[in-house]
Amino acid sequence: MRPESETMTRVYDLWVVAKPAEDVPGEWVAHCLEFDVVTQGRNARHAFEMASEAVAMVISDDLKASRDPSLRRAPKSFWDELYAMIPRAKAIDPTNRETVLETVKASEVHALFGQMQVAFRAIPENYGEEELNVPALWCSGGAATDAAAFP
Amino acid sequence: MSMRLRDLVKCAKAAGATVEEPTRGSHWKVTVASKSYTIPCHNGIKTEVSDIYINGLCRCF
Repeated sequence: MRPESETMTRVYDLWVVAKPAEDVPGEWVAHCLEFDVVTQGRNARHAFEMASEAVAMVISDDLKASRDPSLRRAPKSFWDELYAMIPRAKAIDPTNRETVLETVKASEVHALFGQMQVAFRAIPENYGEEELNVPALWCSGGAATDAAAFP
Repeated sequence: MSMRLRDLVKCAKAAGATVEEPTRGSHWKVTVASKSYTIPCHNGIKTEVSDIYINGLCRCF
């Protein structure tokens, strides 16, 4: 256990958009807009987890290089797409969030997006540790948006 | 158009980037002039990365 003085924890609230990868069947692509970090995973939940890990890596490397990670911000077009989705999206019931993330099929939605919290704990001689939390999640497009298709 | 991780790594190295395998987690790291970006590798060297990812990588550098 490290003394509190050796670690610094900062929580980032990040917009992450996850979509089925059209060119790689079965994969989901996750895009963190604040840092313009794109990654992918085997399902929606894995894509969010991968985004958390990737974000922690780039933040750590930027801080080590005395670079401001916020300069990586995604281009305006991606934010415009998010802002266009928000009014039409359906909030996922928090009690079903884990189930949706693990079971949602690519054919059911256009995108899932959420405000992901990454608690980044900087540790000397290491790039840090991250914890994933998705406190709010919405889906956009597809049949599942209009029906109670999610369990 | 998607691309295999091994081919992406070859391209990055040919372009002068430094590519590091993960010491933990599921991402390789590509670095150019001290600026880094991550490469998903959850299916190993055969991981097929989407063109959306490749666009993101190109925006970074």
